[in-house]
Amino acid sequence: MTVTEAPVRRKAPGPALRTEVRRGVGPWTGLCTALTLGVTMAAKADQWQGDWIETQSLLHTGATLLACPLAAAAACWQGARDHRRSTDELWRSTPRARWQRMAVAALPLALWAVAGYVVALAGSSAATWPYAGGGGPLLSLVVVDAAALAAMALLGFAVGVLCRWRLAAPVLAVLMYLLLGVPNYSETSTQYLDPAVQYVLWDRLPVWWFAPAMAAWTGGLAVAALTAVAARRRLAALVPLAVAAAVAPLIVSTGDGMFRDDPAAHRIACTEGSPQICLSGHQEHLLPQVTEALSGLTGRLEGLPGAPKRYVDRPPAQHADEARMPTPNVGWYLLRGRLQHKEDFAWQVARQLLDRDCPVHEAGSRSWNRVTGTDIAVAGWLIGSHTAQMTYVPDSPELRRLEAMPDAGRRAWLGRYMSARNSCDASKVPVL
Amino acid sequence: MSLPVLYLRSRALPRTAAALACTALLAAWAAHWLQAQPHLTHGARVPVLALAPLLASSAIGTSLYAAADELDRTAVRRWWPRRLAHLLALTVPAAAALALAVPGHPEAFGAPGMVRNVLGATGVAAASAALIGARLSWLPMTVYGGAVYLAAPRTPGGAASVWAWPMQPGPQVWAWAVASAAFAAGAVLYAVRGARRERD
Repeated sequence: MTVTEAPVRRKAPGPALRTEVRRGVGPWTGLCTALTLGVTMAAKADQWQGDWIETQSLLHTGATLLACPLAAAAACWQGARDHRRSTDELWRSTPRARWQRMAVAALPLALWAVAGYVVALAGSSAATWPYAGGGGPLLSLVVVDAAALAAMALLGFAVGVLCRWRLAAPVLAVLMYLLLGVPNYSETSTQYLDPAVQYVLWDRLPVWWFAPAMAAWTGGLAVAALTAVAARRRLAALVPLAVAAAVAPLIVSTGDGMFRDDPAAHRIACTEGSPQICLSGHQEHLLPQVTEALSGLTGRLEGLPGAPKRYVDRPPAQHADEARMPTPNVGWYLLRGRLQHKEDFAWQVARQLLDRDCPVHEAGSRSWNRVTGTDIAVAGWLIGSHTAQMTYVPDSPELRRLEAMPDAGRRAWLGRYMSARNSCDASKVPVL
Repeated sequence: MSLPVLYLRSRALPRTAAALACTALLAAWAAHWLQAQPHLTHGARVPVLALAPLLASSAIGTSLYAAADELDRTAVRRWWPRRLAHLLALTVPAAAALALAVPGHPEAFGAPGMVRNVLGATGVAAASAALIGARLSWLPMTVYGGAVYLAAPRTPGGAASVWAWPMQPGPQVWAWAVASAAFAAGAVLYAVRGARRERD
């Protein structure tokens, strides 16, 4: 009788992976990633809290420029573990395949780095959400950042396996920083291959294939490196490398075209009544605050001929019925959803309202100096508050004369002045 | 072979000195390149002041590894003068070479800031070598440097000169105080305890 042994079923790497995930440098990598991003975000909270674009831009910068090199260094340390422990030969004597061992050791680093990023993202989103008036983070940017972190961890691990130098990990961190950071200084379309490049997302959205393409690019390179180091058939590394190589020309040739106009940012939302205050769709929830901040200015202009009927935070500024106002950005005018520096906001609106944008050759002439003095005095009178006037228009005889006028006479004068508020002909501007 | 030569070889000091020299050359090139970019000023040297001391302190920290720690501790002679001399013999030339890499404008991320950062980062690395082991001594400073790199406010001084001392442009007294204290604490800790014995 011939007894044939049943083939031994190899155990799935589940228990080994769970052990690797729980122990070693992996959890520390996740903690350090979350800590690095958390400190960065917390220290600059005034500059992003309440605005999804600003929140995600800073998080993207931190994740790619700081956390990616950190993840690569930690993974490099992990990759050299068997060498440090002198357990290379011991592992070779086990039946488990080399790629399986490597994958089980490398994956936890990638997972923990992404987990640290997700914790920072969740914290930042929770901090922004109450003040943002709806919306949420861009999923495609989250995918790109997470893919970059995972890819850097896998690349770092491959370097660690190959390079047994004690300084390999910190040197890799610095090199990664340079590799990811230097393309930001250039303005060629090849910089879009860099996952750390700063995207301008204020009024744009990534196209649908942006995230898959970037993930295929960074992931393809990383998997190719790990396969070349870990797999028995090293030529298999050509498959992920081919994927990365296929995607790269698409990214480079499209370049800035990977971002399309954001309909919400280009939509203008206005208040009812007259004059209208208009902001982009993203900032619609700020309209009551902006209207209140400009109430003094609009109240003083009410009913005057030539006064603008609409205040908009974008060009064209010099439309007869329209005036431009600054965008209430986070970091200066907005702090956790509240409009601040209201007097400066009103002053900027008044200056834009009376902006003449005339040829340079007019400047310096006596008649033009009179017009400039009149413009500043009127802008000071429009913002109303005495303390603000002391700040922006100190010691102006024109302002004193304007304030001393009787109401009816001042309205008549202002009517003539507003009709010529954007004129470059000094003779049309009434004398104050 | 004489004892000093054996010591130098056992600590891989020639390779560490080479790494420090490469770091200084790279820092000099990077500082020059950054200042040559249009629209950038001397303040653009901030990445050099953050990264070069990090790399130098990593090289110094990992050189503190003792392959035969138990054997070393059986020696009759006291170890602390040798450990201190080892640390200073690497830190002083590294600080000097890196200071030369960022010439001019000492108030805007120049030589004083570089010396301060080398001292502070090396102190943290030496303390880390004593507490968690020499081979991983680069990690705490890397994490700390990364955390304060973007977090530091643009305006120098104030409380940030204490918690974000590596990102201060140069003459801030509190940044110097913290970096000097870090170096003193790290040097004392390492000189007294030596690098922590590592299991793997």
